[in-house]
Amino acid sequence: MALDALDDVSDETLLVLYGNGDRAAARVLTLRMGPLAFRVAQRMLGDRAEAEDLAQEALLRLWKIAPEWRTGEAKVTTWLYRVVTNLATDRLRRRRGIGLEEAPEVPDGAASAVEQMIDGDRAAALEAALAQLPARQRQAVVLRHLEGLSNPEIATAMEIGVEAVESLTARGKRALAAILAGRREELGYGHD
Amino acid sequence: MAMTEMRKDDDTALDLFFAEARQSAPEPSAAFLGRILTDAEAVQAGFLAVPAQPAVTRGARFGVLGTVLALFGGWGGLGGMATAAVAGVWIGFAGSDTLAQVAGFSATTEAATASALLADGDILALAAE
Repeated sequence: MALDALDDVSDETLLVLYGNGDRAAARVLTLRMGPLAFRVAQRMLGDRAEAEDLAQEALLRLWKIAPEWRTGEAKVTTWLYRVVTNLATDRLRRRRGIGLEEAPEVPDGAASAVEQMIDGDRAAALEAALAQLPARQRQAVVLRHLEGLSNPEIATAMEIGVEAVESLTARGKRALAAILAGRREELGYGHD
Repeated sequence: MAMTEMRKDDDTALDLFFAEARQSAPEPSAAFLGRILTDAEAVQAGFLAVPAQPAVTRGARFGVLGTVLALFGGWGGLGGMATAAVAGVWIGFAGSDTLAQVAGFSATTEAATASALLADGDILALAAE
């Protein structure tokens, strides 16, 4: 099938076509899902090489389950958000070497780590601040405020309730505000 | 500044950080997308290469054990045979004088009468008592 003809086809249908051997579907899905998986992995991990590695692993899982995919049961993007963020959470846990429940709301020295940044780039400041959050809070904040998912969508992706999502995002935002407080004047977001 | 005003101020400032981050979303490299497509095509080729599975009988699937199982009607048949064998051993050990007890009869006169009636085929007589 021609690539243009697949532009308006849903992700779920494309995955079924891919599972049936449609090569054009493989290319279109790569162009749709590759950037999404990489972007979320990068925002979770803050490391380009590690994000590429993780996104490739998540997409490999997607390719393998394609023949069993049933349209109408789940959105491909929700499935991918779940796999990418869960894999990233596992890596963050291993990186920190502690359970998430034991992680402090705002680790000691987090603000100073942000203050040490050389340039004044706001997106980079946010990325550095996100890196200081416990993994589950970071996962919820990234999905809500950077990927633009609704709370019910996040609840499905994280396999938790909507109230738990609200709690995680609220705590995450409070922690980010605390970490970034010292940077706001410097970055042009000071009080009026 | 009141706590609620501070929180509102924090939210506004954070929203600006989020908006900035959304606009400068990390983009994947062409090399990365190339690796993803290579994976996708390799996995897809695997789907197409899988030959049709021949019908497999239960016996063939589990080798010699499967053949034996198939002969006796599967695990259910084999289980019934095992139970019968154990019961036979126990009856032989206990002796023929306790066989009536095994079958649920007690050695009373009443049971003997019932047996006699049944032996005569007069079931109605038993029901009338």
